[in-house]
Amino acid sequence: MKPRHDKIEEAKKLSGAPGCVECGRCVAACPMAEMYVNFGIEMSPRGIIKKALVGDNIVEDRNIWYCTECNSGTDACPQGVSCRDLIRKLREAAIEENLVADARQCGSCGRYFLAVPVENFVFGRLEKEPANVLKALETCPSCRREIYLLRNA
Amino acid sequence: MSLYQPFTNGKIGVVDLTTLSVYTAELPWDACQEHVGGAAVNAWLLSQYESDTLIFGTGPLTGSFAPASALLVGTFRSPRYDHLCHVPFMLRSGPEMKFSGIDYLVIRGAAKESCTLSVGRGQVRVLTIPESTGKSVPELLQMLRRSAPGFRASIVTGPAADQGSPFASASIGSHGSLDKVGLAARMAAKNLKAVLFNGIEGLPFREDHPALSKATETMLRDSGALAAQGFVPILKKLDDGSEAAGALRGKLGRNRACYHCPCPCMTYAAFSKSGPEKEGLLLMDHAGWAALSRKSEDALPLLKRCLELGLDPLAAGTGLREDRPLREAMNAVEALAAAGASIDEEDYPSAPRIDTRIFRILGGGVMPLVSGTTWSDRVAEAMLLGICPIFVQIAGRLDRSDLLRFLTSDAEELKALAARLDDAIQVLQEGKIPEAGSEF
Amino acid sequence: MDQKDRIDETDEIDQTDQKMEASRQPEPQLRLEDLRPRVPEKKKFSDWFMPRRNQVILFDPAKCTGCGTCEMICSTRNVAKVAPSQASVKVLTDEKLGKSFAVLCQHCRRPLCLEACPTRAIEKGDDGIVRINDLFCVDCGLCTMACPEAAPLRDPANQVVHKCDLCEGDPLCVKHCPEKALTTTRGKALRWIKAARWGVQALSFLFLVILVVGTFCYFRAGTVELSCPTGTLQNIASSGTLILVGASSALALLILTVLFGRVFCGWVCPFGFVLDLVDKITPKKIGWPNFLKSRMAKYGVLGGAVGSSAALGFQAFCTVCPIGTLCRSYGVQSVMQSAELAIVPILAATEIAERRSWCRYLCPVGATMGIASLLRLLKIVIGARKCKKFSCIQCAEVCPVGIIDADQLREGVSPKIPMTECIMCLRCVDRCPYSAAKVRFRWQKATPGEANQ
Repeated sequence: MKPRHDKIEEAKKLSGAPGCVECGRCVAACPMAEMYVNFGIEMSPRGIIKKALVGDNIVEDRNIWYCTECNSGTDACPQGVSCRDLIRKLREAAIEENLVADARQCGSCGRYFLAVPVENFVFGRLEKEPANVLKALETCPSCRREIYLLRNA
Repeated sequence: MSLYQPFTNGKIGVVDLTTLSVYTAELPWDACQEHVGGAAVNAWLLSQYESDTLIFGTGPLTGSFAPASALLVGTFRSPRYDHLCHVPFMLRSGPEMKFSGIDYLVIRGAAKESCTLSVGRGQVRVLTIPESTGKSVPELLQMLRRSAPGFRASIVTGPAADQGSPFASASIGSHGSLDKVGLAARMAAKNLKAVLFNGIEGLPFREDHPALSKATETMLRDSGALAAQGFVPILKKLDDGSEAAGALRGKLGRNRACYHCPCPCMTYAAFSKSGPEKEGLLLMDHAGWAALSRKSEDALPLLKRCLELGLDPLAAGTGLREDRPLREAMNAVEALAAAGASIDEEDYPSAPRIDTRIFRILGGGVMPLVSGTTWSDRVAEAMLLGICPIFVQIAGRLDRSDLLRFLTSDAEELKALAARLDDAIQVLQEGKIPEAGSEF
Repeated sequence: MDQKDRIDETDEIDQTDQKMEASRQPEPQLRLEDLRPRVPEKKKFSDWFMPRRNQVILFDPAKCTGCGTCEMICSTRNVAKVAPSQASVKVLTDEKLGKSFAVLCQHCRRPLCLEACPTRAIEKGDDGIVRINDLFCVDCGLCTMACPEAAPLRDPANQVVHKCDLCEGDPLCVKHCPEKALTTTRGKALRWIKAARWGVQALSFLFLVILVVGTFCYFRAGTVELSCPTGTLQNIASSGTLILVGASSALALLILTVLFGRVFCGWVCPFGFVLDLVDKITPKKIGWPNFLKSRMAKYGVLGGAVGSSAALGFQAFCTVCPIGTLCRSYGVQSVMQSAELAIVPILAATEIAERRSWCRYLCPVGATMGIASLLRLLKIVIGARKCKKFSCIQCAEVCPVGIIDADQLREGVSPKIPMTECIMCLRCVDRCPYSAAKVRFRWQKATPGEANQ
């Protein structure tokens, strides 16, 4: 396993993070503003990029688990920085170090497919639904489709 | 968009396994113009490289709206014969190669250790996956799914090829294929274990392209040949196919069709090896099944073993002694998967009422459902255009102009294309091995 | 200026920023949810007698051969290219089972993707089609997370979410499927069973309560007898003798139940009619606490009624039975009988908690019918191939005795219906637009075999 610093350097290179000019367009485009009442600098794409550029302890930061990986920030960025690629790589690094408190595993394939804050948002929106509907969220979309096939094909 | 641009990436990938170098080049449009596509362009490409090159190629209609546009052709010079061999691969092989960004794949040289090619996004990567030799086909696929996930079609070889059996057969996924002329041996000689296609891209088409031609619609509405679908009706068209069909009674599941094919010619079969859990198997090789069921009552487990080993079921069926207990038959199958194995039949592979040379040029696995010259013309046409050669025999009503209309509706272009097709079919059936660098 | 210098310079600004941020009061943030609020579906008056018939796609897995034509043709509409991985429908094949399945959006009546979308980009139109509005969609994929089938598909090439929109009314996949596994339907139009049932219930009420002066429990006028099976049992228990003459009509009712199930409860019972009327005026149900909801209780009440008859020597239960009381109510009454009438509205009030609570948990007549229906000839099945499961759930919503398991439907399984509890009102059969819920003989298999010979 590569040392953490190498992984972060790779992530920064892949995403183009050093090109960030802190304009904040990614924050304006980010759907997290719609999802979290406490949406602030810490979990915004700009904030995470900044923190990643400064140090390696970003991997332990719980704020990297709020993102939905939608890529709107990348589309908005004038410098072409991909916040999604950066956050994805940071999350992979966190999983490799077993910092998985905020990650959900698929009950079927074991892949980490969902972040807990995102899951809580979906639960909140679906709170009027019966408990077993929310059971669907225990599996990743691919496995869910397979299970549906097994039940109905 | 020119005539040849729809449904084409315009790219070929060239891999040299000796030096492990890869590059992509633009499709030689002139050669495609001249030779149409598929097997003929493969042969032309073969003339540009060394004689031991293996070419996988698609046709202009592969991945298009034409029905059964699923074909991938593997062309190589078979060490057994004095002519070229073109092996058809169906299911999703052809379209997935195109969706992976290339139209033809040229494989030269031989690798020092066992390697796998992964094609995606217009690029070819050479992967070394440790301990991939000697594994059965299902185990190999499981390993590949872990180390190179995301492929949507694959051509693999099994332990039979690794051990140097002359009857090894390349396999589409775990389902086997119609390779009866030793393409697997060619792959093994190159130390090539698998070719994976990760197709996620798309193919352009012209707006005036009909998605459903009048002819296809009529054909689909027609009861006739299409009413009887699945593995069994095709089986019954072969000599002594009715008995072979009888052996499957009560064991059949759902039908399966290849990419965009309206006439499924494959069916799933289930049998219990041990215990109540049933094992599933896709029946694809009609001749192979007929040969095995002729010799044994336990043909399904034997077929499964052939597929696991990457062994040609037709060879197994031909080489087995009749009515032996399962254990002995299994041992015989294992023996055929080893180097130096031989079967008594000299005429393998061959088909009744078809010229053996042409039969082997066109892959040695496409069973005749129509007679004599009609067969060779139709199958050659299919291999050039990139359509399934079994489908063109079933859908006899769909003639050449109906198929070409999926490429263009311009009358002039149609005529010119038809003429070139005629020439290309002629050359294909001659099966000449091109001299390197020759103007083929 | 390299990275480090820039950071040093902005450090101070950052610290001020953070202090301001920390001291700031959380202000109400205007979100898309406020600008585009969830508008509950408008109920139209015509819905009562004329159901909304929205177009849906039905998929029959037994016919699917896994050819992938639907994927291919769908992608030509999504991305103007032949690219099956960028379609709104996905064909899965399980090689071990040898079965193929197409996953595509079912356009649910109550779509979960619509609730989960953070930007409220998903809307269900008046035509029933659930659409993703591209102006607001950010391709976050939360719709896929919320969907029980994970139907909105993420394009692996461009990472965009594609969801079926029924091709605005003319689905391409249906047109091109060579096996006709994908079909489109608007569902059935006529709900005639409802009209028939209300009619029969009203007539039966008229007959039993008003025309027949006396009671349903043990009535005799000349050669006409009516006898409730439960009443007959209690009669036998209390008097110790079997009066065959009275028992014959009870037997007739029991034979009816054996043949057709508890049709008495659904179509004939006058108290049931009263309950259904009360249900119509109390649409909002408050529910019972779980410990009270025991379907076995009514067998206990039956046991109690028969036991008390044997012990006391007269039919104690029949005096307080709401069905009997209702039947005795019309005509000349004693003071005692008038007071007894109070039992009817008291028990009818249970309807506010759950529909047909009396029938589910307490009615001994229903219990007797339930025992008789163990020998039933008919059953109601929900055919899995036509049932739209989690996207519909209308049968479970409309069933008055609540025996259709909505949870199973939400998990994508068509539930089995316990016929001893079913009152054969046929509301589910009437309501199901896709003819999935149907009446079958007991020995018939729900879905026909699929092997090819």
